[in-house]
Amino acid sequence: MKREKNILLIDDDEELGNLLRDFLSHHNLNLKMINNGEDGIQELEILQLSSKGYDLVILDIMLPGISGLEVLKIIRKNNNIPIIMLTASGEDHDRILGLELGADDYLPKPFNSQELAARINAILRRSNNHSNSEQRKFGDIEIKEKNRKALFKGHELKLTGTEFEILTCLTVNQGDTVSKDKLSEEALGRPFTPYDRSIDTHVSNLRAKLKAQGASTELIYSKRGIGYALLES
Amino acid sequence: MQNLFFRIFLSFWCCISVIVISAALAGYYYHQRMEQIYTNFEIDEVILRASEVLDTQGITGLKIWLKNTNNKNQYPYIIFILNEKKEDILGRNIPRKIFDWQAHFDQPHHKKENNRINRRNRNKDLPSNLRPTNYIPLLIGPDSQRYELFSVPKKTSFQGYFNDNLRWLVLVSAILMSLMVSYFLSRMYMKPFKHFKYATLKIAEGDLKTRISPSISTRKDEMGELARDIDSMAEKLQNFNQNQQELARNISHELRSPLSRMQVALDIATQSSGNNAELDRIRKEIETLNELIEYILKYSRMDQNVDEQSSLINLNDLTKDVIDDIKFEYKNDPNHDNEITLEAKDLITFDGYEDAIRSALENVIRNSVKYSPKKSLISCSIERSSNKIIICVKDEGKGIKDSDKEKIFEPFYRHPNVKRDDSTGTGLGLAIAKSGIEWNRGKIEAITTNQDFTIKITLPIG
Repeated sequence: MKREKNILLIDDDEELGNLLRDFLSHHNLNLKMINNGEDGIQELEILQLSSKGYDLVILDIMLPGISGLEVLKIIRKNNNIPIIMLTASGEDHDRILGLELGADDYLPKPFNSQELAARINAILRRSNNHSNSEQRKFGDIEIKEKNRKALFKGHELKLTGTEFEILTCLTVNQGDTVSKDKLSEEALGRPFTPYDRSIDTHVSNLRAKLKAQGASTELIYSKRGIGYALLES
Repeated sequence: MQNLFFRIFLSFWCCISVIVISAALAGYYYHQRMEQIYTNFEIDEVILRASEVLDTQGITGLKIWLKNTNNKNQYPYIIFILNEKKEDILGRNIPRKIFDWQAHFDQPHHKKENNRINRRNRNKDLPSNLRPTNYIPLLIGPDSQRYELFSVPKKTSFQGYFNDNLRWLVLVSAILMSLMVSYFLSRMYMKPFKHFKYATLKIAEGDLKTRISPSISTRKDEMGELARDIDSMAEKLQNFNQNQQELARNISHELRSPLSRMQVALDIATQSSGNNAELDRIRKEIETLNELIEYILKYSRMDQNVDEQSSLINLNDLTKDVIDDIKFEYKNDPNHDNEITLEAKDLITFDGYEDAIRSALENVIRNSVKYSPKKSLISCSIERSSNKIIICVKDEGKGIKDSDKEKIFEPFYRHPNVKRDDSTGTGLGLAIAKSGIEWNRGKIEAITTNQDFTIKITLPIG
């Protein structure tokens, strides 16, 4: 049997946490709950170094004390652990800001638990997919799948899991246009849905990070209504 | 004349000009009065001549002489000679001031004074018919008639007065000076209004962080007071807005927490007992409730981000995006397989709030898809004229009555002919569209004909 994955839920709704733990235990997911941001950050810092650390964080945006976005910012300073945000639908600004701050995916509350389990598994599967040790290159971009590193002109880019997947997917296609649907499948593990701007937000994060290393913002070229492609420099 | 600046400027200028002109007039009249008094006694020569004429040629000769003298313009005076009946010998109207003059010197203290003509001509031999008995020279005619001789200075014309001594130049430059002074004065008074206008406009546009510049709000006068009042209004609005946002987040959080728990509990129930119709129903109702919360927040614009700045929106791209999303949404729905087209000749941009416009377009187009017949065409168009942008969404849906044209934008309005079922949604779609367009200072209206139904959105430029 596969090893149980450890999930950290940072949410102040304890009842919801209990129900979720119940539900996720059937999916080989071990949920631990912490009901405020400060303790959540501490817990992650302590366990980051130990071997039985967490595999994924589920973070509620509405938290008492320091907000979920603030927690996200602090965690992302030195940790690339996959993070799924829980937002209330309608709060588009929080959602986009969350993705910009480096969350891998989001789920609006109330959510379908099956969907949550599916997304957790999709992200975990990706981040454990180390078998492919191939090196990929396109233009100035270099992807080292073995240790999940992306380089631009030899400089390492600090990418979140989702951003890494998107860049990899674009690199693999060597300048051909990749549809948003495919990017969504590859990077988020789910089909593209209407009104969803996550891929666009992740791409714009990627552009910003590439630009910080001196790349043109046009390096990732947008084809309206179709998808994205890498431009040969 | 609607312009307050212009009105203040004009009234200042008029005021100062009136003062300048009255001063000039006063100068003119004073000048005339002085002349009247001082020139009255420099006519000895005329008197002597008159006496001579009277002596030699009699009264007829005097009349001819007088006519000639006055016509000759030789002297700056008009000479009147009055007979005993106090009538001018030439029958002219006698100016009133001659009588005033006479009355003046008839007063006792003047009578006591020495006659000036007498004094001046002390060493001269006076003609026998001249009686300088009083201020007023008296001639005695051959028939012993007494004739009084008066001289009245000719009126100095305005022009004559002002031609003199560059007075015109002074007057004109005084008026020009007053023009400048009033311009600067009125500008000084109107300056705060510019700030007020800018600030209130910004506030009306939703930028509640706007404050009046401290150079005005620290003033101690009424302008300063008004500035501080506007500032405090903006601050209260800002607080109110923040509270409302907070409230919206709390509502959203508090209502959704139990919904989230219900959803997870439902998922567990489904996991253990398998799917059935009742659980499906519950799932559907949870979704509806959640959607309703979202729509109510959207409608009241309580989800509007206060900090959101307006930005330049590419309307062509935005509409295309929305159409793509809606096509995707109804991809697998055979009842709503409408073709949606977009017609836009030029690239049209609009400076506004993207979220609000996006949700408005989304709701309008989705509304069309919902209520128009299968396979029918929905055509969107974007046009721009000099001062507005018009977005039209036309479908082949059955038109509504004219009386209902306004009602469809009211929240929770349902057309009586539309059966209420799962596909009709929350009844907030067009209300959200209206609120989103109005947030952008635009207008939304419905136009119906027998064949089609159009929603027309008008956005202002600038």
